[in-house]
Amino acid sequence: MVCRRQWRKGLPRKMRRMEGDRLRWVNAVMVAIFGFSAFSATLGLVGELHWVQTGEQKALSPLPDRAVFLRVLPIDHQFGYFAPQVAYDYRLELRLASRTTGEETLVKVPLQPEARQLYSTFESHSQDPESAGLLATSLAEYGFAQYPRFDRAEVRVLYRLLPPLKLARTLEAQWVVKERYYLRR
Amino acid sequence: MNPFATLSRMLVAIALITLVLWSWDAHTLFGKHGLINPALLAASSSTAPLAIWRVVAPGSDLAMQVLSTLISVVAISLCWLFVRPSSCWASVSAYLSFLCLTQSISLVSYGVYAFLQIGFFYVMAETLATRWCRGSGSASACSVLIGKWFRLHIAMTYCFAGLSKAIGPQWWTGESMWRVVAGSKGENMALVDLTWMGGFPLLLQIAGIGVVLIETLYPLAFIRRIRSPLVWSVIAMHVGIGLFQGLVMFALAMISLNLFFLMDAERSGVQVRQRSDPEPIAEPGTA
Repeated sequence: MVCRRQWRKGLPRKMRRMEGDRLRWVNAVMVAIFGFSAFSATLGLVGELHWVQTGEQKALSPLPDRAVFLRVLPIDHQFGYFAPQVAYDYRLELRLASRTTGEETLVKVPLQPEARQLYSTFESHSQDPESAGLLATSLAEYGFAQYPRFDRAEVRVLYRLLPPLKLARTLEAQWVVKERYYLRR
Repeated sequence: MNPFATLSRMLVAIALITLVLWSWDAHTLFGKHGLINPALLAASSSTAPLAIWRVVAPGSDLAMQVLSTLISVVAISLCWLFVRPSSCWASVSAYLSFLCLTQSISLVSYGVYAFLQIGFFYVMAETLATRWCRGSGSASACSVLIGKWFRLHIAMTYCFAGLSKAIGPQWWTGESMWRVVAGSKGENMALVDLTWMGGFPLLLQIAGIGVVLIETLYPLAFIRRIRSPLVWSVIAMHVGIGLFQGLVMFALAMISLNLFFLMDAERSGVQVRQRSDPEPIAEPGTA
């Protein structure tokens, strides 16, 4: 069997140098991508440690505004990764009402499982109080567009309150209302 | 067979199924009067360089048409990559179109999209670098090199995921595992209900500590003796995520990356052994 090292000796010197140079370039690019990913992941970890210790979110951005074009590379996925330290389930509930007829309804949207998963991600943003209002407005607009006979909307931000593990045998999980938003057409 | 070709086919299949599963509801989710206001999508993608909202006004009639067209382009590119996994153009087209889609819907995208993007990136890097190095006769070495960096990237991802779990108390006490299994009842589309495990806190605690350990210690998979048990235990963990948390596509994507880790590590070992083979070369005509 011809081993690779022996085979390379048979190549002209220029071609051997070219092979080495190109591999070195590829390696350098990969080192840069991996290095930045690791740096970004470390920043994310520091931010999460700060959150665990103080309960405050710390924004450590690995990319400055001028370098956002670098987001075409997979270098900042680990940043902002949020391990479910205290993973609550959040959900939005839409109730519509008509002032003239007094009719009320709870809106349920039938979605396929994968679309439901995307929508769950959307709902999970409601744990941030600043985002929750925007999400509620978006949902109310959907309700008014789909059901024109209603002119009032109530959007509830619910989260699932789980009993601690020690009480898991005796207590049941409950959906608790965190916020209510009242909107009109 | 090149592990990158196998990986790209697996990732393409997962991405296509994921796309098909939600594209039926795309209008309900992202339409002009959909559940998710396009203005919110655009605002959340403001730092994404390839989001369609940079060229299309959110909420306009054109926006939904552009999004539908983008979904079609992604599907076509993925099919092309499935048929020609070693084609540079197919891999570039699949990566860029997929990236454009995920950045446009970053408000609702979750783990599976991030890891598919990472996978497609390395597939693209491998095809491009292999083509570039082909002229100098080092194409296979280049492929092995990219594979090594991809395995490092996967290991780093797991390690940091494990560390971020380890810094809080919930995974050590079993509380986080309890939250995972409690979510398997009804609402979260889980295939198996495991809430009865709440009656066995010690079991949940052991499982939680196990998850932290196997994720944090994943870089040890570069040691040949440890590789198989470690990687297969991570694959088992992802099977659990698929069954008990309902994150089937995410679990499949992660299992694909782990299978690639195994395949590519074996290939890399073979290459290294070949390189250090002391057998002398036979001169032509002397045999």
